[in-house]
Amino acid sequence: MAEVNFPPEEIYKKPIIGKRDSEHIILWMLTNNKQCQWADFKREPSNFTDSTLSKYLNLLLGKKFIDRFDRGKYKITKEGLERFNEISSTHGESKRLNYPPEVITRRRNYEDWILWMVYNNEICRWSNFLEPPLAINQSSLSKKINLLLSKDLVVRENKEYSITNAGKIAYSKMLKNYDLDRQSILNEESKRIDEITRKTIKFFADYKVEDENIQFRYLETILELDYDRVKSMLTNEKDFEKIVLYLMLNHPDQFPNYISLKEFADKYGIKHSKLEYYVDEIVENNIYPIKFFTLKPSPEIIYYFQEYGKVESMLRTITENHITKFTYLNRLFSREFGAYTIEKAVLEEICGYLFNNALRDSLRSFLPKYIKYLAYKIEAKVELKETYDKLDAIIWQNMIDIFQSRSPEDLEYQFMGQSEVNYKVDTVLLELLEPYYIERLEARNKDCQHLMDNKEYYKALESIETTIKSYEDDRVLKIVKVIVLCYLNRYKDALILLNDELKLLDKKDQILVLSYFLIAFSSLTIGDFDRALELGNEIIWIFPEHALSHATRGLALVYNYIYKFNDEKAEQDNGLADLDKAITMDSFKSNLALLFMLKSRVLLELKKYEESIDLTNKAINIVPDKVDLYLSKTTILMYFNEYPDLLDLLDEMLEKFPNIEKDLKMKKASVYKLLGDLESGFKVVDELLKENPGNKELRSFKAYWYQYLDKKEEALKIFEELIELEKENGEYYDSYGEILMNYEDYEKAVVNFQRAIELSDNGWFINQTYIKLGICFKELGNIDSAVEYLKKGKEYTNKSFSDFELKKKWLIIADIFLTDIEST
Amino acid sequence: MNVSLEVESVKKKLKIKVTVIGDGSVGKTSLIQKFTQGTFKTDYSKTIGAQLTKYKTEIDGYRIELIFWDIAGQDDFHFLRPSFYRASKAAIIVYSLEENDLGKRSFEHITKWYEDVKQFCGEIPVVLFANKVDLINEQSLDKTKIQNLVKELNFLGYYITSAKTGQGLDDAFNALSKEIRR
Repeated sequence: MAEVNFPPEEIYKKPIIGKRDSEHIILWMLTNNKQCQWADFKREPSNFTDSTLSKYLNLLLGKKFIDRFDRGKYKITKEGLERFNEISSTHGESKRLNYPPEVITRRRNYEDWILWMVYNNEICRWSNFLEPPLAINQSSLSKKINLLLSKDLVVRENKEYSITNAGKIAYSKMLKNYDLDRQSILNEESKRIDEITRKTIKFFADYKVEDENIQFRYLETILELDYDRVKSMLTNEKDFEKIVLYLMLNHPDQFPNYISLKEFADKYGIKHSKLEYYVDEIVENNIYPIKFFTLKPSPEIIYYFQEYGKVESMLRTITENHITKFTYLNRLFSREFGAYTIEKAVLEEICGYLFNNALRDSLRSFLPKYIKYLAYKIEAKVELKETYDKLDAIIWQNMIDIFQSRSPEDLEYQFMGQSEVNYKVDTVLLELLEPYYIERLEARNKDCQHLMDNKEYYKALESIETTIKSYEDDRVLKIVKVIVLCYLNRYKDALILLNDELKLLDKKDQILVLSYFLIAFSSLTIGDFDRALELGNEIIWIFPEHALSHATRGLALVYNYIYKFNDEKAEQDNGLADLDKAITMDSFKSNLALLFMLKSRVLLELKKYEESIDLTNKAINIVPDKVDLYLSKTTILMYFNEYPDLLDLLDEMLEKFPNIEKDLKMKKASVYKLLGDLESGFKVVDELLKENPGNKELRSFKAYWYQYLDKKEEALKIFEELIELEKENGEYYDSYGEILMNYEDYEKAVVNFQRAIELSDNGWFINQTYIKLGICFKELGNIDSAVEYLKKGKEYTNKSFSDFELKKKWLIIADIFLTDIEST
Repeated sequence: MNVSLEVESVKKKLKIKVTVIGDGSVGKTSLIQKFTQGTFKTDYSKTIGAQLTKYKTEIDGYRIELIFWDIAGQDDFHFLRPSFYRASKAAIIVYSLEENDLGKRSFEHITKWYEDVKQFCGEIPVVLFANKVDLINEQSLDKTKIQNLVKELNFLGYYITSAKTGQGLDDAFNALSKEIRR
């Protein structure tokens, strides 16, 4: 027979006068045992007679305080528990105390005894612990009570002790150390839940929280967050509840709904700064052991979801599944799936299912960090006893390295990394292929080209991938996919796809020309001129009468002439002959314009200003609405310092292309600066900002102008405001540091550059940040750090996928300071 | 080795930083190249950011190493100006004598460049190079406005130069080296 807990003597013993409280005895037994059988009530010391027992059991069953779940077997209900607590707290003339069961008092763990007492009794006095049945000795009691007080698990008021919220959580944990029956543990936890639920119901009513999903998430979270932990600073519990509500309202499930800190503060009556501070403390500084993850679809919007919540649990399962799958497949077929493949697979599965599709971009940048987090967690698991633990450890052991080492290669596709130096090849040239695929594409996918025209390349990729699923053998569609990958700077993926395709292509298939052009194009971006030229030669041999064949070789030679991959070859051939041949063969007008543009680029390198401009004008005459051709002309005018002409051209463009007004006016301001007319430049910037008051890029631009005008305070103020608005935006810290550098405040600049690196180690500007940091250290006399960061800056610059001229400038800057350090 | 001789040798070696500034395309890099290597490139190649060129000479028994910091006129690196100018012992401001917009602008901007020098380097010797004399008729050159400016800004002097022909270069650089030594 299982051991049964019986009530203490004062409950079951018959009083001298009157009857014993049978209801109390039965409820006590059912509260402190998972279940009781008829025979248990009849046993010593409860000693019920059949008739009395039958009477009271029926009475309690009628009131739904107990439940007969099987023949002769009873258990307590929620209502019964409440009744039991009621009886326990009011029984008799003087208040009776509940004492811990024998399973707890069996061990002399006084802390647990005290915790049990203060949890199960509203208040306790010193004497309650000293006297029997507990009889804790004075010195132990003093020591243990002080310990509990210091841990904030218990509070003392008017010589009475009561439990705190933290104490309630500790109590629940403590129960796990004892061999208590399941029902007792659940009963104890129910008490805590009931109390918080009562408060929550009131809170929902007061603040009209009616959405069941939000209600559920809120309750689920607040049960785990202990208010006592922040009570000393956040004295109003209502504010605490509002902060939790803010997090719940901005859960990814709520997308596209979103409430900003300011809106929430106004609507729910909480100080904006207080809300911001505690959200930050909970989410970023982990003042609770519960981890919150964030998704940032834009710098102003942050969604929060917590670890082990529904969304995170599902995300974890999906991620783990893909990691496992790719690890196994890698082993099976000796293949190497990189971080990108894994992320992509996870992304495909979660977007539109677990998260709204519109959150795709923010998930893309979130996933690497998340996977690393999971990997660290697995790594931290010390016990590797069970088979599944060992498997987990093996599966995840390389993940940290994979995701660590992928930096900066494909983090945001700003960096390449296959070659030491990466080269920008003008993507507008990809349009040379458009006439050859457009008909097929539009027949099978009406949206993709439109998305490409609007530069919505991620969406274009999704769109074309979906279409390819329906037309698996259509090679033209695969070519379109490669083009989109090129627009996304994902040349490595483009090359993999193209190499696979090449194996399948018939040498007579005209698609081969498009494939060769794209492989040459992608190869040039990673500095592989030899491969590009080889393909150019080969395709001219296979399709000598195809304009694109000559354009392919011309492209290789032109970019070799620009970048001097092979000096000797550059001196022999600048690609002009091939371009001229392509021009005579191509029958598409738009292609002629693009070929003229490419040719004018060579003429620019040849310092043939007039010819370069003439050819660009010719291109513009053919396709007068193509902005890229105008932009090409601005580059030529800028190169030859033809600033007044450039200003005229920009004015003309402003009329023709009002959709890029901001960029054009910013350029115009920069030209005024080159002319030394800072006032006119500033006026343009100022007016532009007035037209777009919320535009942060323009505010940042204006700050630089204040710097040129030597208005230090104004310049610094703008960046301070921007940082205040976006504390996590590394770019603002970088710019702020730059302004400080201009005013020789190197110490402060260092702090800001370091913060920028901390926040945006994969940002497009980070190579510059490292170089600037190195220069600051040089100025501060810290030569070791200066050399370290200048070298790191060079390394990142080499890998950055930025404008080649800009890249060269930064490499030279770093070299100058390194040379200067060496020579002094 | 005789210790006293070694000390003497160390004592006589001077490294001097000279900042070369002026608008883009006025020929700063060409001037330095012509002076230090005797070459002149007809192609205009933009200086990117800045360039360092060293030139070793001996004046009055002192071994002098001139380090020319050729700072780009394009001024993309505004915030680097303090570092570019730091510890300069002399400055050369270059403008172009060309009779076009570029030439006119480069003359107008001399004051701006001078203010930069003053702000970051204080009172150091500054010389003015009026470059590209080979592109104009020197006889028709009105030197009064150059002389007035030199006087107004208290420059050490001015030199009519041509990076292409080398005209005036030796005089200009030697005078500058002597002044620095002094």
